[in-house]
Amino acid sequence: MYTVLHAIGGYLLLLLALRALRRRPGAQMTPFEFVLIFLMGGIIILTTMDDDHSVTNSTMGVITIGLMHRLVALIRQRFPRVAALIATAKHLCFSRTANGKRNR
Amino acid sequence: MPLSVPTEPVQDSVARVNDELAVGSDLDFQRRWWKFERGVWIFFTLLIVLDVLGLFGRGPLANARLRASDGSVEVTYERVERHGTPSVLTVHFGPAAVQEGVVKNGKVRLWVRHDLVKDLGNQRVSPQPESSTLERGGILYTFPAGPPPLAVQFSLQPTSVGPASVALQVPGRERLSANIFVMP
Repeated sequence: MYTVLHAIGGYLLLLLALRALRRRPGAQMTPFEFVLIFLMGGIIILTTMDDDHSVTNSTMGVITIGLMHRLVALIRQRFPRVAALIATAKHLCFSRTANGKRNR
Repeated sequence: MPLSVPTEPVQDSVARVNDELAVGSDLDFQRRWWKFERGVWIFFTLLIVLDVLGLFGRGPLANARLRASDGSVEVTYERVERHGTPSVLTVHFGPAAVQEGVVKNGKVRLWVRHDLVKDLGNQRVSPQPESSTLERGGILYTFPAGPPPLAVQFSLQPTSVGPASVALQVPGRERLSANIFVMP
């Protein structure tokens, strides 16, 4: 039970922390970003797993993180305002040309 | 020189639609996969709900207690343990323990079957017993005791996976036994 609660808390905390960092590691991964990812992952895993290193616990932790990912993706799809809080929205920029047509 | 016309059908590993065109996807398979995937996530959600409830240990459903019919001894434990994970089994001696003669001459004696050490990996007994004697396939502990309520804690860390059992008894009294399942 505690693993699930810790995993949910850890996921939300990481999501918020990565959002606050503005530059999201992943697309253009630098060593600095790698350090961030692994350091944060290493820290959060301590409290997520606690003193329970059983297969059952790790399985439940992985499933919980997966479910949280699905849930957040669903929320982002259904609620655009919440999506904007969770991740930067993609913007399309248009400019008008001399002939009045729009270019992306 | 006549051109050789290939007569063998094109062989490739890319899925085709209506056996005609290789488009790189098989929508029928994809739809079946999405259906299967939905089923998997429903199953996973169910697993997590059951885990939060404690069906796989460390939750409300896993907590259990045993009570002697005369109310002198009560044992709280986890009916579902996890391999290598610390847990505590507590034996409580209530006010009835003095009336029933369980606490006698400032001492309380408690016998536990050897399974508590072998399968459930008893690491520590708190408080330290005054003496411990091997007898009847188990260990007889003698603790110095003051006025109740009193409690003795066994710190467990299961060393094997599967069904296990525990048995405790205050000599001359009802034997309390419980089945415990140790998750991998």
